[in-house]
Amino acid sequence: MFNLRKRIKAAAEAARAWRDPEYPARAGAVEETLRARNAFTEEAMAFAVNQQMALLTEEALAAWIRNRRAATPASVGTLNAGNVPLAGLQDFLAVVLTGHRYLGTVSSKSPALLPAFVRDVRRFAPDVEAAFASLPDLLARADALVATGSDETIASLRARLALPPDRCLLRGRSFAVAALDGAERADAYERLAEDMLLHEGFGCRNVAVLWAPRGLSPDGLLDAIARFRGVFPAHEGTPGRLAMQRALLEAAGASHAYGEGLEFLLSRGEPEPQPPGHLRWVEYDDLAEADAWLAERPVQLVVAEERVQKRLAFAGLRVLPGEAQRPALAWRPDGVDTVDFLSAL
Amino acid sequence: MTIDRVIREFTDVGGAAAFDEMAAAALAYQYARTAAYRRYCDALGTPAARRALAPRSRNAAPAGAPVSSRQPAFVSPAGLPVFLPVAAFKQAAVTAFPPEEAEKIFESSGTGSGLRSRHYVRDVSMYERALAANFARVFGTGPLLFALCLPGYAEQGASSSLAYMADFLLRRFGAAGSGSVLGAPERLRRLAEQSAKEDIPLLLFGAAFGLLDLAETASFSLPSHAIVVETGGMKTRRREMSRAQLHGRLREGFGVSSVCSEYGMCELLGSCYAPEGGVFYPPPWMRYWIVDPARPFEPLEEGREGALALLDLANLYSASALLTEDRAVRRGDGFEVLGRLAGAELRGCNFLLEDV
Repeated sequence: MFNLRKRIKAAAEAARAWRDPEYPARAGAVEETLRARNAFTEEAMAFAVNQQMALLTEEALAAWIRNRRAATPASVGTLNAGNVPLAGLQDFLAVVLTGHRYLGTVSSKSPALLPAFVRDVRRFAPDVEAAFASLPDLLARADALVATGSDETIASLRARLALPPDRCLLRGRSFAVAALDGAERADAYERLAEDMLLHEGFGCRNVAVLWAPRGLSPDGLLDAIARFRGVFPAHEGTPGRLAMQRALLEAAGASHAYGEGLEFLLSRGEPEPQPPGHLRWVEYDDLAEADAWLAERPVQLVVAEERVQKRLAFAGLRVLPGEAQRPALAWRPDGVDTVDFLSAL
Repeated sequence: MTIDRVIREFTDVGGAAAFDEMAAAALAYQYARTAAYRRYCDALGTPAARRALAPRSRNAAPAGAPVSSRQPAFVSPAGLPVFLPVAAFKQAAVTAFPPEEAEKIFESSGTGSGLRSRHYVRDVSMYERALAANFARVFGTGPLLFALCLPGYAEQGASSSLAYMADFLLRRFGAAGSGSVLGAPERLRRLAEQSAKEDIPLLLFGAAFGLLDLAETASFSLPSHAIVVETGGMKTRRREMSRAQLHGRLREGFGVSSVCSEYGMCELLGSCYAPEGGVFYPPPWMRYWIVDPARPFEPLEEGREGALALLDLANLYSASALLTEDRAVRRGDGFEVLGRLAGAELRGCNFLLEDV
């Protein structure tokens, strides 16, 4: 018998245990994740786990779910990207707290964190039905699907799915954008550095393109990035990824700046998202140029000071500097509420 | 090996040693004359860049291994050419000559991002020799009854390398009556009848979504010896689909037993054909590698997916060694293109279909 209060309590209990970095399940999962082929650093992983676990209190979970609940429990397949630590946690919680059965995939890039947390939740609430499966197995067994992917991956999935469209929540590619007005202070730049580089530029909440008023010097931001890298050192693979990017900018004679050890790369040019860790600095004469551009792109969120936000017509999620990597429990990827989707199944 | 000899004989290159010799000459020529390529190689050749790009795997050479001073800047420490990302064609004039002397400028169709690649072609006859030799080695010298179906490319005009290629092949190998069947299934039916009557093989050549539209509206089968060649462009106006799904629909729609594929791009003057099954085989003047897109300096082992890197001698006046944005895997002597590496994939906002 589905008991929401019991499940919420189990999730909150597990989260409470996970707030301790020495907690064996967490420490073991972190160690295993660091050995995997990914771009996670110990520091960024600790940040992500602490940030997300801090959100999972009984009160917050209850306020998020409210009375939304599945009329008929289904086996919900969720494809977990593994591009940032604990990706897929919100989907897992949404599935089990609305009364569905959870069936997830494990990404080789992040093989341990989510499975270990799920195990702990089930330890506190054994009636939670949650398992991990291979993709073919998942696609064969799932009654509904939640997935995030590139346009191509989503198209490929669509073609393979036997499920009706209203039972699939497919999230396309997206990225985050920052907008400046030139009046930002040093602390705002420091928070922006986190928004851009925390997970080495990976993830759809990562700022990839920054709009700045023409003539604004990027020096303040570059200083902040250098300070950020003192606290969150780059992953050992980052300089390698950026070396080719920098060489390409050299080939094109494009203006760019980079850290001494290639821990970051910033370039001026067309408003196009670059590969992870490479921020594109775009100048505007009128903020309306940014707005027009935003309207045409798959932008997950815009980072800007409140006064700049007020000047933007962008209808999607707007957050303050320093909030991009700190998603709220109830955040809605692509503007779609996962709990609403699941409770309507 | 002189550059003049490469220009004269590249389509007749015989064997790996001769290819290596021509490739070395071409790369040295481009390093000396193609400024964008030289700047790219030089930026990757600094000790800091080499350290950053050194392999990190357990079996690889130690990070920061010394680089031989005799090794040219266009050769990676592992001996592969330094591959220029095709994105360079969007951002710079990748030419070994003054761009204003180009006989032709090909542009990409501009799908995806707004920027278009531009390929300045110094010597169109080299391109045509590559096209003709490659086509003849796969489909013979004809004559063939060409039916072209290239929606959108005609609008792109003279800047479309695909339209140029199709038109050139039609003029070179086409029988009387060949022409466009775009949006005209009736014209295709007449060509099919002519093919059967005159015993001239029909070659239906077109972009994926154009062929699909045609297959869905045609109410007749093509002759059994008809050849269908799709040139990619899997992003249809209605939805995307895999190459295998597309071929299945085309086989069914046209009543043929197999569908060929052509792999090419405006940045590349050579092209590859997959006679069937989606496995592409490069012509003798091209070589390919599957590499880690983040460290494209040594080939990945057989069976691993990676970025497709190519060396095309026909690209003599721009850059021969190119890193594409296509995800591919080696299949015997050929390669299969699995999709794109661009956009979200590079940003990591996706999952990999690891279990399939």
